[in-house]
Amino acid sequence: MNLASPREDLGWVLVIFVMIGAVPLVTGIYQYLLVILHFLRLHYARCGQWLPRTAILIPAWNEAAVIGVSIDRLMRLDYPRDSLRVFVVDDASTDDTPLIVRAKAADYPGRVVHLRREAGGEGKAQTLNHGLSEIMGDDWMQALLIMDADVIYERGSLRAMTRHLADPAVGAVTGYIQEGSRPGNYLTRFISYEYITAQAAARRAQNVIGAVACLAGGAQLHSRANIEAIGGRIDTGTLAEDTVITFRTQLAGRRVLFEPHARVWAEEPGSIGALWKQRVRWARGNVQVTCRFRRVWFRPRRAHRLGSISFGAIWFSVFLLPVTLLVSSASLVTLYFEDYQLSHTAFRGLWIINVIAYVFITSYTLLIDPQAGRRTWRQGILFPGIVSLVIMADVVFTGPVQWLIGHALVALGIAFGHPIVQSVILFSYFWLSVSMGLAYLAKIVERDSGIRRYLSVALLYVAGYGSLLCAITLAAYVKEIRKADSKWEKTDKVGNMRIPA
Amino acid sequence: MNGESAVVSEQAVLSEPHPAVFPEPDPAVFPEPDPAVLSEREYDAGIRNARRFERIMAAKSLISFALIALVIEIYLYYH
Repeated sequence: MNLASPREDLGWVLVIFVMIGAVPLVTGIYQYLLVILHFLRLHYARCGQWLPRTAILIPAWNEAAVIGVSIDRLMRLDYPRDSLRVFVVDDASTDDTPLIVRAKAADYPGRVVHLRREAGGEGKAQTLNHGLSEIMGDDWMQALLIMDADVIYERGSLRAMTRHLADPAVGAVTGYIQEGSRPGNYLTRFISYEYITAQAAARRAQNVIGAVACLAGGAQLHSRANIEAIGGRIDTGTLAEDTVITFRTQLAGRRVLFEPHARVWAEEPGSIGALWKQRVRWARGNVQVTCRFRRVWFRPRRAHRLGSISFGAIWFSVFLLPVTLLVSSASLVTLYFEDYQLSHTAFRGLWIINVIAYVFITSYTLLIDPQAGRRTWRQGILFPGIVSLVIMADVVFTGPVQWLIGHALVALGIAFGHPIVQSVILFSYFWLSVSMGLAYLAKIVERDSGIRRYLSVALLYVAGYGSLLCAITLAAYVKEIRKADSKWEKTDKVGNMRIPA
Repeated sequence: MNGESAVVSEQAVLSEPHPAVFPEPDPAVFPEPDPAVLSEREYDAGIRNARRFERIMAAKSLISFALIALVIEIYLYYH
Protein backbone atom coordinates (compact mmCIF):
# COMPACT_ATOMS: atom_id res chain seq x y z
CA MET A 1 0.00 0.00 0.00
CA ASN A 2 1.42 3.35 -1.08
CA LEU A 3 0.83 6.15 1.35
CA ALA A 4 1.44 9.68 0.13
CA SER A 5 3.97 11.56 2.20
CA PRO A 6 2.80 14.67 4.10
CA ARG A 7 4.77 16.72 1.60
CA GLU A 8 2.84 15.19 -1.32
CA ASP A 9 -0.45 15.75 0.52
CA LEU A 10 0.48 19.38 1.00
CA GLY A 11 1.21 19.61 -2.70
CA TRP A 12 -2.24 18.39 -3.67
CA VAL A 13 -3.93 20.62 -1.10
CA LEU A 14 -2.10 23.55 -2.66
CA VAL A 15 -3.27 22.46 -6.12
CA ILE A 16 -6.86 22.58 -4.86
CA PHE A 17 -6.26 26.11 -3.53
CA VAL A 18 -4.73 27.09 -6.88
CA MET A 19 -7.81 25.83 -8.67
CA ILE A 20 -10.03 28.04 -6.47
CA GLY A 21 -8.91 30.72 -8.90
CA ALA A 22 -10.76 28.83 -11.64
CA VAL A 23 -14.12 28.88 -9.82
CA PRO A 24 -15.11 32.39 -10.99
CA LEU A 25 -14.06 31.43 -14.52
CA VAL A 26 -16.21 28.31 -14.55
CA THR A 27 -19.09 30.30 -13.08
CA GLY A 28 -18.60 32.91 -15.78
CA ILE A 29 -18.83 30.22 -18.47
CA TYR A 30 -21.94 28.79 -16.78
CA GLN A 31 -23.51 32.25 -16.72
CA TYR A 32 -22.90 32.70 -20.44
CA LEU A 33 -24.36 29.26 -21.18
CA LEU A 34 -27.52 30.48 -19.42
CA VAL A 35 -27.54 33.53 -21.70
CA ILE A 36 -27.87 31.19 -24.67
CA LEU A 37 -31.01 29.73 -23.09
CA HIS A 38 -32.64 33.13 -22.65
CA PHE A 39 -34.78 32.73 -25.76
CA LEU A 40 -36.50 29.79 -24.06
CA ARG A 41 -37.44 31.76 -20.94
CA LEU A 42 -38.93 34.95 -22.35
CA HIS A 43 -41.78 36.60 -20.51
CA TYR A 44 -43.50 38.01 -23.59
CA ALA A 45 -46.35 35.47 -23.56
CA ARG A 46 -47.60 37.08 -20.34
CA CYS A 47 -47.06 40.66 -21.52
CA GLY A 48 -49.79 43.00 -22.67
CA GLN A 49 -49.99 46.43 -24.18
CA TRP A 50 -50.51 48.11 -20.82
CA LEU A 51 -49.64 51.77 -20.42
CA PRO A 52 -50.13 52.54 -16.74
CA ARG A 53 -50.13 56.08 -15.33
CA THR A 54 -46.43 56.35 -14.61
CA ALA A 55 -44.70 58.67 -12.20
CA ILE A 56 -41.05 59.21 -13.04
CA LEU A 57 -38.96 59.97 -9.97
CA ILE A 58 -35.61 61.69 -10.51
CA PRO A 59 -33.32 62.52 -7.59
CA ALA A 60 -31.22 65.56 -8.51
CA TRP A 61 -28.35 67.06 -6.61
CA ASN A 62 -26.52 69.69 -8.67
CA GLU A 63 -27.52 68.16 -12.00
CA ALA A 64 -27.80 71.39 -14.02
CA ALA A 65 -25.58 69.98 -16.78
CA VAL A 66 -27.90 67.07 -17.53
CA ILE A 67 -31.38 67.46 -16.06
CA GLY A 68 -32.85 69.69 -18.79
CA VAL A 69 -32.01 67.32 -21.63
CA SER A 70 -33.23 64.33 -19.62
CA ILE A 71 -36.64 65.94 -19.03
CA ASP A 72 -36.96 66.97 -22.68
CA ARG A 73 -36.24 63.42 -23.77
CA LEU A 74 -38.79 62.02 -21.31
CA MET A 75 -41.40 64.34 -22.78
CA ARG A 76 -40.74 62.79 -26.20
CA LEU A 77 -41.21 59.20 -25.09
CA ASP A 78 -43.68 57.07 -27.03
CA TYR A 79 -46.13 57.11 -24.18
CA PRO A 80 -49.56 58.70 -23.64
CA ARG A 81 -48.96 62.26 -22.52
CA ASP A 82 -51.66 62.16 -19.86
CA SER A 83 -50.15 59.04 -18.32
CA LEU A 84 -46.72 60.47 -17.60
CA ARG A 85 -45.60 62.80 -14.83
CA VAL A 86 -42.02 63.65 -13.96
CA PHE A 87 -41.17 64.43 -10.33
CA VAL A 88 -37.71 65.94 -9.88
CA VAL A 89 -36.57 65.94 -6.27
CA ASP A 90 -34.05 68.74 -6.07
CA ASP A 91 -31.86 67.77 -3.13
CA ALA A 92 -30.89 71.28 -2.00
CA SER A 93 -28.91 71.86 -5.18
CA THR A 94 -26.64 74.88 -5.18
CA ASP A 95 -26.27 75.14 -8.96
CA ASP A 96 -28.90 76.01 -11.60
CA THR A 97 -30.86 72.77 -11.13
CA PRO A 98 -33.90 74.43 -9.49
CA LEU A 99 -34.04 77.13 -12.19
CA ILE A 100 -33.89 74.58 -14.98
CA VAL A 101 -36.48 72.29 -13.43
CA ARG A 102 -38.84 75.21 -12.77
CA ALA A 103 -38.44 76.30 -16.40
CA LYS A 104 -39.25 72.78 -17.57
CA ALA A 105 -42.29 72.71 -15.26
CA ALA A 106 -43.46 75.88 -17.01
CA ASP A 107 -42.76 74.38 -20.46
CA TYR A 108 -44.68 71.20 -19.63
CA PRO A 109 -47.43 72.31 -17.25
CA GLY A 110 -48.89 69.54 -15.15
CA ARG A 111 -46.34 67.05 -16.45
CA VAL A 112 -43.17 68.15 -14.67
CA VAL A 113 -43.18 68.72 -10.91
CA HIS A 114 -40.34 70.37 -8.99
CA LEU A 115 -39.94 69.18 -5.40
CA ARG A 116 -37.34 70.94 -3.33
CA ARG A 117 -35.54 69.62 -0.25
CA GLU A 118 -34.04 72.50 1.66
CA ALA A 119 -31.82 70.30 3.83
CA GLY A 120 -30.18 67.88 1.43
CA GLY A 121 -27.02 65.85 0.98
CA GLU A 122 -28.22 62.88 3.05
CA GLY A 123 -28.10 60.48 0.14
CA LYS A 124 -30.03 59.17 -2.81
CA ALA A 125 -32.42 56.97 -0.79
CA GLN A 126 -33.55 59.89 1.39
CA THR A 127 -34.06 62.03 -1.70
CA LEU A 128 -36.13 59.31 -3.35
CA ASN A 129 -38.26 58.94 -0.22
CA HIS A 130 -39.07 62.66 -0.29
CA GLY A 131 -40.51 62.26 -3.78
CA LEU A 132 -42.14 58.95 -2.98
CA SER A 133 -44.15 60.41 -0.09
CA GLU A 134 -45.51 63.02 -2.52
CA ILE A 135 -46.30 60.49 -5.27
CA MET A 136 -47.93 57.98 -2.93
CA GLY A 137 -50.09 60.78 -1.50
CA ASP A 138 -52.82 60.11 -4.06
CA ASP A 139 -53.82 57.16 -6.20
CA TRP A 140 -52.86 58.64 -9.60
CA MET A 141 -49.66 56.62 -9.91
CA GLN A 142 -50.02 53.05 -11.18
CA ALA A 143 -46.34 52.52 -11.92
CA LEU A 144 -43.18 54.20 -10.66
CA LEU A 145 -40.05 54.69 -12.73
CA ILE A 146 -36.96 55.55 -10.71
CA MET A 147 -34.09 56.93 -12.78
CA ASP A 148 -30.96 59.05 -12.53
CA ALA A 149 -30.82 62.64 -13.71
CA ASP A 150 -28.32 61.95 -16.47
CA VAL A 151 -30.07 58.95 -18.00
CA ILE A 152 -31.51 59.25 -21.49
CA TYR A 153 -34.33 56.94 -22.55
CA GLU A 154 -34.87 55.76 -26.10
CA ARG A 155 -38.40 56.54 -27.28
CA GLY A 156 -39.88 53.10 -26.90
CA SER A 157 -37.99 52.02 -23.77
CA LEU A 158 -40.60 52.84 -21.14
CA ARG A 159 -43.32 51.07 -23.08
CA ALA A 160 -41.06 48.06 -23.52
CA MET A 161 -40.83 47.90 -19.73
CA THR A 162 -44.48 48.58 -18.81
CA ARG A 163 -45.73 45.71 -20.99
CA HIS A 164 -44.33 43.27 -18.41
CA LEU A 165 -46.37 44.86 -15.62
CA ALA A 166 -49.51 43.56 -17.36
CA ASP A 167 -48.60 40.36 -15.50
CA PRO A 168 -49.47 41.00 -11.82
CA ALA A 169 -46.80 38.49 -10.76
CA VAL A 170 -44.15 40.97 -11.92
CA GLY A 171 -43.19 43.57 -9.34
CA ALA A 172 -40.43 45.40 -11.13
CA VAL A 173 -38.63 45.64 -14.47
CA THR A 174 -35.22 47.03 -15.29
CA GLY A 175 -33.78 48.16 -18.61
CA TYR A 176 -30.46 47.83 -20.41
CA ILE A 177 -28.20 50.68 -19.27
CA GLN A 178 -25.63 51.52 -21.89
CA GLU A 179 -22.60 53.74 -21.63
CA GLY A 180 -23.35 56.90 -23.58
CA SER A 181 -20.42 59.28 -22.90
CA ARG A 182 -19.28 61.01 -26.07
CA PRO A 183 -16.67 61.57 -27.31
CA GLY A 184 -15.59 59.30 -24.48
CA ASN A 185 -12.14 57.86 -23.92
CA TYR A 186 -10.41 54.54 -23.39
CA LEU A 187 -11.96 54.16 -19.92
CA THR A 188 -15.55 54.81 -21.01
CA ARG A 189 -15.04 52.23 -23.76
CA PHE A 190 -13.89 49.72 -21.11
CA ILE A 191 -17.05 50.57 -19.16
CA SER A 192 -19.14 50.19 -22.30
CA TYR A 193 -17.74 46.69 -22.84
CA GLU A 194 -18.19 45.87 -19.16
CA TYR A 195 -21.87 46.88 -19.40
CA ILE A 196 -22.46 44.36 -22.18
CA THR A 197 -21.14 41.64 -19.87
CA ALA A 198 -22.67 42.92 -16.65
CA GLN A 199 -26.04 43.95 -18.06
CA ALA A 200 -26.89 42.54 -21.47
CA ALA A 201 -25.36 39.15 -20.64
CA ALA A 202 -25.46 38.73 -16.86
CA ARG A 203 -29.03 39.98 -16.49
CA ARG A 204 -30.28 37.72 -19.25
CA ALA A 205 -28.71 34.84 -17.31
CA GLN A 206 -30.50 36.07 -14.19
CA ASN A 207 -33.80 36.12 -16.13
CA VAL A 208 -33.19 32.46 -16.93
CA ILE A 209 -32.45 31.62 -13.29
CA GLY A 210 -35.51 33.62 -12.20
CA ALA A 211 -33.65 35.91 -9.79
CA VAL A 212 -32.29 39.34 -10.67
CA ALA A 213 -29.41 40.73 -8.63
CA CYS A 214 -30.05 44.42 -9.08
CA LEU A 215 -32.52 46.79 -10.67
CA ALA A 216 -30.34 49.41 -12.33
CA GLY A 217 -30.57 52.67 -10.42
CA GLY A 218 -31.07 54.50 -13.70
CA ALA A 219 -33.97 52.39 -14.97
CA GLN A 220 -36.19 50.62 -12.49
CA LEU A 221 -39.91 50.39 -13.03
CA HIS A 222 -42.15 49.23 -10.18
CA SER A 223 -45.82 48.49 -10.02
CA ARG A 224 -47.71 50.44 -7.37
CA ALA A 225 -48.60 47.17 -5.68
CA ASN A 226 -44.90 46.38 -5.36
CA ILE A 227 -44.01 49.73 -3.83
CA GLU A 228 -46.86 49.34 -1.34
CA ALA A 229 -45.82 45.77 -0.52
CA ILE A 230 -42.32 46.86 0.45
CA GLY A 231 -43.61 49.61 2.69
CA GLY A 232 -43.78 52.54 0.30
CA ARG A 233 -40.25 53.63 1.11
CA ILE A 234 -36.71 53.11 -0.11
CA ASP A 235 -34.30 51.51 2.33
CA THR A 236 -31.80 54.01 3.74
CA GLY A 237 -29.59 51.58 5.65
CA THR A 238 -27.08 50.71 2.94
CA LEU A 239 -25.18 52.26 0.05
CA ALA A 240 -27.00 49.94 -2.39
CA GLU A 241 -30.63 50.97 -2.11
CA ASP A 242 -31.36 49.65 -5.62
CA THR A 243 -30.07 46.15 -4.75
CA VAL A 244 -32.00 46.14 -1.47
CA ILE A 245 -35.27 47.03 -3.23
CA THR A 246 -34.55 44.31 -5.81
CA PHE A 247 -34.11 41.70 -3.09
CA ARG A 248 -37.11 42.86 -1.08
CA THR A 249 -39.32 42.73 -4.17
CA GLN A 250 -38.34 39.12 -4.85
CA LEU A 251 -38.49 38.08 -1.20
CA ALA A 252 -42.05 39.44 -1.13
CA GLY A 253 -42.87 36.92 -3.88
CA ARG A 254 -42.92 39.21 -6.93
CA ARG A 255 -40.80 38.67 -10.01
CA VAL A 256 -38.13 41.07 -11.17
CA LEU A 257 -37.33 41.08 -14.86
CA PHE A 258 -34.65 42.46 -17.13
CA GLU A 259 -35.95 43.81 -20.44
CA PRO A 260 -32.95 43.89 -22.81
CA HIS A 261 -34.84 45.85 -25.46
CA ALA A 262 -35.53 48.81 -23.18
CA ARG A 263 -32.33 50.73 -23.85
CA VAL A 264 -31.28 53.71 -21.80
CA TRP A 265 -28.04 55.66 -21.95
CA ALA A 266 -25.95 56.97 -19.09
CA GLU A 267 -22.86 59.10 -18.79
CA GLU A 268 -19.98 57.24 -17.13
CA PRO A 269 -16.82 58.37 -15.34
CA GLY A 270 -13.94 59.33 -17.62
CA SER A 271 -11.15 58.94 -15.07
CA ILE A 272 -9.97 56.06 -12.92
CA GLY A 273 -10.34 58.25 -9.82
CA ALA A 274 -14.01 59.00 -10.50
CA LEU A 275 -14.69 55.38 -11.43
CA TRP A 276 -12.95 54.21 -8.26
CA LYS A 277 -15.16 56.45 -6.10
CA GLN A 278 -18.36 55.28 -7.81
CA ARG A 279 -17.50 51.60 -7.79
CA VAL A 280 -16.20 51.49 -4.21
CA ARG A 281 -19.62 52.82 -3.21
CA TRP A 282 -21.32 50.10 -5.25
CA ALA A 283 -18.99 47.38 -3.93
CA ARG A 284 -19.46 48.50 -0.32
CA GLY A 285 -23.19 48.39 -0.94
CA ASN A 286 -22.81 44.80 -2.14
CA VAL A 287 -20.85 43.87 0.98
CA GLN A 288 -23.66 45.34 3.08
CA VAL A 289 -26.33 43.53 1.06
CA THR A 290 -24.44 40.22 1.29
CA CYS A 291 -24.35 40.50 5.09
CA ARG A 292 -27.89 41.79 5.42
CA PHE A 293 -29.43 38.95 3.40
CA ARG A 294 -27.13 36.28 4.85
CA ARG A 295 -30.10 33.99 5.56
CA VAL A 296 -31.07 34.00 1.87
CA TRP A 297 -27.96 32.51 0.26
CA PHE A 298 -27.98 28.89 -0.88
CA ARG A 299 -31.35 28.20 0.73
CA PRO A 300 -33.75 27.38 -2.12
CA ARG A 301 -37.36 28.45 -1.54
CA ARG A 302 -40.54 28.07 -3.55
CA ALA A 303 -41.42 31.75 -3.24
CA HIS A 304 -38.28 33.14 -4.87
CA ARG A 305 -35.08 32.05 -6.60
CA LEU A 306 -32.63 34.22 -4.69
CA GLY A 307 -31.66 31.21 -2.60
CA SER A 308 -30.93 28.99 -5.58
CA ILE A 309 -27.49 27.44 -5.94
CA SER A 310 -27.04 29.03 -9.38
CA PHE A 311 -27.78 32.54 -8.20
CA GLY A 312 -25.64 32.17 -5.08
CA ALA A 313 -22.72 30.80 -7.11
CA ILE A 314 -22.85 33.71 -9.55
CA TRP A 315 -23.22 36.31 -6.77
CA PHE A 316 -20.33 34.98 -4.69
CA SER A 317 -18.05 34.35 -7.65
CA VAL A 318 -18.15 38.10 -8.26
CA PHE A 319 -18.23 39.10 -4.62
CA LEU A 320 -15.26 36.92 -3.65
CA LEU A 321 -13.27 37.34 -6.85
CA PRO A 322 -10.32 39.21 -5.26
CA VAL A 323 -10.08 36.61 -2.50
CA THR A 324 -10.01 33.72 -4.96
CA LEU A 325 -7.27 35.44 -6.98
CA LEU A 326 -5.17 36.10 -3.88
CA VAL A 327 -5.57 32.54 -2.59
CA SER A 328 -4.85 31.04 -5.99
CA SER A 329 -1.69 32.99 -6.71
CA ALA A 330 -0.34 32.67 -3.15
CA SER A 331 -0.87 28.90 -3.36
CA LEU A 332 0.92 28.75 -6.71
CA VAL A 333 3.95 30.54 -5.30
CA THR A 334 4.02 28.24 -2.26
CA LEU A 335 3.70 25.22 -4.53
CA TYR A 336 6.62 26.50 -6.62
CA PHE A 337 8.90 26.11 -3.61
CA GLU A 338 7.34 22.77 -2.59
CA ASP A 339 7.08 20.97 -5.90
CA TYR A 340 8.08 22.87 -9.02
CA GLN A 341 6.75 20.31 -11.50
CA LEU A 342 3.35 20.17 -9.82
CA SER A 343 3.21 23.98 -9.66
CA HIS A 344 3.92 24.11 -13.40
CA THR A 345 1.07 21.66 -14.11
CA ALA A 346 -1.35 23.55 -11.83
CA PHE A 347 -0.39 26.87 -13.44
CA ARG A 348 -1.04 25.50 -16.92
CA GLY A 349 -4.35 23.96 -15.81
CA LEU A 350 -5.52 27.22 -14.28
CA TRP A 351 -4.59 29.25 -17.31
CA ILE A 352 -6.07 26.92 -19.91
CA ILE A 353 -9.41 27.34 -18.11
CA ASN A 354 -8.69 31.06 -18.21
CA VAL A 355 -8.15 30.90 -21.98
CA ILE A 356 -11.39 28.99 -22.61
CA ALA A 357 -13.37 31.44 -20.44
CA TYR A 358 -11.72 34.41 -22.12
CA VAL A 359 -12.36 33.21 -25.69
CA PHE A 360 -15.96 32.21 -24.98
CA ILE A 361 -16.95 35.26 -22.92
CA THR A 362 -15.16 37.86 -25.05
CA SER A 363 -16.38 36.57 -28.40
CA TYR A 364 -19.96 36.09 -27.22
CA THR A 365 -20.03 39.47 -25.47
CA LEU A 366 -19.08 41.21 -28.70
CA LEU A 367 -21.80 39.26 -30.54
CA ILE A 368 -24.54 40.00 -28.00
CA ASP A 369 -24.44 43.74 -28.65
CA PRO A 370 -22.70 44.25 -32.00
CA GLN A 371 -23.34 48.01 -31.96
CA ALA A 372 -21.45 48.53 -28.69
CA GLY A 373 -19.06 45.74 -29.65
CA ARG A 374 -17.88 47.59 -32.76
CA ARG A 375 -16.88 50.52 -30.57
CA THR A 376 -15.28 48.55 -27.78
CA TRP A 377 -13.75 45.40 -29.29
CA ARG A 378 -10.20 46.59 -28.55
CA GLN A 379 -11.05 47.09 -24.89
CA GLY A 380 -12.84 43.74 -24.91
CA ILE A 381 -9.74 41.95 -26.15
CA LEU A 382 -7.49 43.84 -23.71
CA PHE A 383 -9.91 43.47 -20.78
CA PRO A 384 -7.69 40.96 -18.88
CA GLY A 385 -4.56 43.07 -19.49
CA ILE A 386 -1.50 42.62 -21.66
CA VAL A 387 0.44 40.42 -19.22
CA SER A 388 -2.48 38.01 -18.86
CA LEU A 389 -2.78 37.84 -22.64
CA VAL A 390 0.92 36.99 -22.92
CA ILE A 391 0.50 34.20 -20.34
CA MET A 392 -2.53 32.89 -22.23
CA ALA A 393 -0.59 32.96 -25.50
CA ASP A 394 2.21 31.01 -23.80
CA VAL A 395 -0.25 28.38 -22.57
CA VAL A 396 -1.94 27.86 -25.94
CA PHE A 397 1.05 28.28 -28.27
CA THR A 398 3.46 26.51 -25.95
CA GLY A 399 5.68 25.10 -28.70
CA PRO A 400 6.47 28.30 -30.60
CA VAL A 401 6.67 30.41 -27.42
CA GLN A 402 9.03 27.97 -25.68
CA TRP A 403 11.13 27.81 -28.84
CA LEU A 404 11.37 31.60 -28.90
CA ILE A 405 12.20 31.83 -25.20
CA GLY A 406 14.78 29.06 -25.48
CA HIS A 407 16.56 30.76 -28.37
CA ALA A 408 16.42 34.13 -26.61
CA LEU A 409 17.99 32.63 -23.48
CA VAL A 410 20.74 30.97 -25.51
CA ALA A 411 21.40 34.25 -27.34
CA LEU A 412 21.64 36.06 -24.02
CA GLY A 413 23.76 33.33 -22.49
CA ILE A 414 21.29 32.70 -19.68
CA ALA A 415 20.67 29.21 -18.32
CA PHE A 416 17.13 28.08 -17.42
CA GLY A 417 18.06 27.92 -13.75
CA HIS A 418 19.26 31.52 -13.74
CA PRO A 419 17.62 33.71 -11.06
CA ILE A 420 16.20 36.03 -13.74
CA VAL A 421 14.31 33.18 -15.38
CA GLN A 422 13.07 31.90 -12.04
CA SER A 423 11.97 35.43 -11.09
CA VAL A 424 9.94 35.71 -14.28
CA ILE A 425 8.27 32.36 -13.55
CA LEU A 426 7.48 33.45 -9.98
CA PHE A 427 6.17 36.77 -11.28
CA SER A 428 3.77 34.98 -13.66
CA TYR A 429 2.62 32.74 -10.79
CA PHE A 430 1.90 35.74 -8.61
CA TRP A 431 0.47 37.83 -11.44
CA LEU A 432 -3.19 37.46 -10.46
CA SER A 433 -2.45 39.33 -7.24
CA VAL A 434 0.18 41.68 -8.64
CA SER A 435 -2.24 42.86 -11.35
CA MET A 436 -4.60 44.28 -8.70
CA GLY A 437 -1.73 46.25 -7.18
CA LEU A 438 -0.72 47.53 -10.59
CA ALA A 439 -4.30 48.62 -11.33
CA TYR A 440 -4.34 50.47 -8.01
CA LEU A 441 -1.08 52.12 -9.01
CA ALA A 442 -2.77 53.31 -12.21
CA LYS A 443 -5.29 55.11 -10.03
CA ILE A 444 -2.59 56.61 -7.81
CA VAL A 445 -0.48 58.04 -10.64
CA GLU A 446 -3.41 59.30 -12.70
CA ARG A 447 -3.49 63.02 -13.54
CA ASP A 448 -5.59 65.02 -15.99
CA SER A 449 -2.68 65.56 -18.36
CA GLY A 450 1.04 65.07 -18.82
CA ILE A 451 3.23 62.01 -18.54
CA ARG A 452 1.43 60.67 -15.48
CA ARG A 453 -1.80 60.43 -17.42
CA TYR A 454 -0.09 58.34 -20.10
CA LEU A 455 1.61 56.24 -17.43
CA SER A 456 -1.74 55.60 -15.80
CA VAL A 457 -3.32 54.51 -19.10
CA ALA A 458 -0.33 52.24 -19.82
CA LEU A 459 -0.53 50.66 -16.37
CA LEU A 460 -4.23 49.96 -16.78
CA TYR A 461 -3.73 48.28 -20.14
CA VAL A 462 -0.91 46.17 -18.68
CA ALA A 463 -2.84 45.22 -15.53
CA GLY A 464 -6.26 44.95 -17.18
CA TYR A 465 -9.60 46.58 -16.48
CA GLY A 466 -10.79 43.37 -14.80
CA SER A 467 -7.95 43.71 -12.28
CA LEU A 468 -9.03 47.29 -11.59
CA LEU A 469 -12.54 46.07 -10.73
CA CYS A 470 -11.02 43.43 -8.42
CA ALA A 471 -8.85 46.04 -6.73
CA ILE A 472 -11.93 48.20 -6.19
CA THR A 473 -13.80 45.30 -4.60
CA LEU A 474 -10.80 44.67 -2.34
CA ALA A 475 -10.77 48.34 -1.34
CA ALA A 476 -14.48 48.09 -0.51
CA TYR A 477 -13.81 45.09 1.78
CA VAL A 478 -11.13 47.05 3.58
CA LYS A 479 -13.39 50.09 4.02
CA GLU A 480 -16.21 47.94 5.35
CA ILE A 481 -13.91 46.08 7.75
CA ARG A 482 -12.55 49.40 9.00
CA LYS A 483 -16.15 50.67 9.20
CA ALA A 484 -15.16 53.72 7.21
CA ASP A 485 -17.65 56.56 6.84
CA SER A 486 -20.35 55.43 4.39
CA LYS A 487 -21.31 58.87 3.22
CA TRP A 488 -23.11 58.81 -0.14
CA GLU A 489 -20.78 60.40 -2.68
CA LYS A 490 -22.29 61.50 -5.96
CA THR A 491 -20.69 60.73 -9.31
CA ASP A 492 -20.19 64.00 -11.17
CA LYS A 493 -21.85 64.23 -14.57
CA VAL A 494 -21.09 66.94 -17.12
CA GLY A 495 -23.60 66.17 -19.86
CA ASN A 496 -21.21 64.79 -22.51
CA MET A 497 -23.73 62.28 -23.75
CA ARG A 498 -24.57 60.55 -26.96
CA ILE A 499 -28.26 61.01 -27.52
CA PRO A 500 -29.53 58.24 -29.76
CA ALA A 501 -31.78 59.29 -32.63
CA MET B 1 -65.38 67.86 -71.89
CA ASN B 2 -62.30 66.29 -73.42
CA GLY B 3 -59.81 64.09 -71.59
CA GLU B 4 -57.16 66.80 -71.15
CA SER B 5 -59.43 69.21 -69.29
CA ALA B 6 -60.61 66.40 -67.06
CA VAL B 7 -57.00 65.73 -65.98
CA VAL B 8 -56.37 69.44 -65.35
CA SER B 9 -59.44 69.84 -63.22
CA GLU B 10 -58.57 66.73 -61.19
CA GLN B 11 -55.05 68.07 -60.53
CA ALA B 12 -56.55 71.38 -59.45
CA VAL B 13 -58.73 69.64 -56.91
CA LEU B 14 -55.83 67.58 -55.56
CA SER B 15 -53.34 70.45 -55.29
CA GLU B 16 -55.73 73.04 -53.88
CA PRO B 17 -58.05 71.38 -51.44
CA HIS B 18 -61.11 73.45 -50.77
CA PRO B 19 -62.05 73.71 -47.12
CA ALA B 20 -65.49 72.54 -47.95
CA VAL B 21 -64.14 69.47 -49.75
CA PHE B 22 -61.42 68.64 -47.15
CA PRO B 23 -62.64 70.06 -43.84
CA GLU B 24 -60.44 70.08 -40.74
CA PRO B 25 -61.12 66.83 -38.87
CA ASP B 26 -63.43 67.23 -35.94
CA PRO B 27 -61.28 66.29 -32.89
CA ALA B 28 -64.24 64.64 -31.29
CA VAL B 29 -64.80 62.35 -34.26
CA PHE B 30 -61.18 62.03 -35.41
CA PRO B 31 -58.98 62.42 -32.31
CA GLU B 32 -55.34 63.23 -32.94
CA PRO B 33 -53.59 59.86 -33.12
CA ASP B 34 -51.45 59.34 -30.06
CA PRO B 35 -48.09 57.94 -31.18
CA ALA B 36 -47.83 56.08 -27.93
CA VAL B 37 -50.76 53.82 -28.61
CA LEU B 38 -49.69 51.05 -30.93
CA SER B 39 -52.02 49.06 -33.07
CA GLU B 40 -52.28 45.44 -32.10
CA ARG B 41 -50.30 44.57 -35.22
CA GLU B 42 -47.44 46.95 -34.30
CA TYR B 43 -47.37 45.65 -30.74
CA ASP B 44 -47.21 42.06 -31.95
CA ALA B 45 -44.45 43.00 -34.39
CA GLY B 46 -42.43 44.48 -31.51
CA ILE B 47 -42.74 41.27 -29.51
CA ARG B 48 -41.94 39.18 -32.58
CA ASN B 49 -38.79 41.22 -33.26
CA ALA B 50 -37.64 40.85 -29.67
CA ARG B 51 -38.16 37.08 -29.80
CA ARG B 52 -36.29 36.85 -33.10
CA PHE B 53 -33.39 38.90 -31.70
CA GLU B 54 -33.07 36.51 -28.77
CA ARG B 55 -33.12 33.44 -31.03
CA ILE B 56 -30.47 34.92 -33.32
CA MET B 57 -28.36 35.80 -30.29
CA ALA B 58 -28.54 32.20 -29.10
CA ALA B 59 -27.50 30.99 -32.55
CA LYS B 60 -24.50 33.33 -32.52
CA SER B 61 -23.09 31.35 -29.60
CA LEU B 62 -22.09 28.70 -32.17
CA ILE B 63 -19.37 31.10 -33.33
CA SER B 64 -18.01 31.27 -29.79
CA PHE B 65 -18.10 27.48 -29.46
CA ALA B 66 -16.24 27.19 -32.76
CA LEU B 67 -13.55 29.53 -31.44
CA ILE B 68 -13.18 27.44 -28.28
CA ALA B 69 -12.84 24.32 -30.40
CA LEU B 70 -10.13 26.05 -32.42
CA VAL B 71 -8.22 27.06 -29.28
CA ILE B 72 -8.41 23.52 -27.88
CA GLU B 73 -7.26 22.17 -31.24
CA ILE B 74 -4.23 24.49 -31.19
CA TYR B 75 -3.50 23.59 -27.57
CA LEU B 76 -3.61 19.88 -28.31
CA TYR B 77 -1.45 20.34 -31.39
CA TYR B 78 1.34 21.90 -29.34
CA HIS B 79 1.09 19.39 -26.49
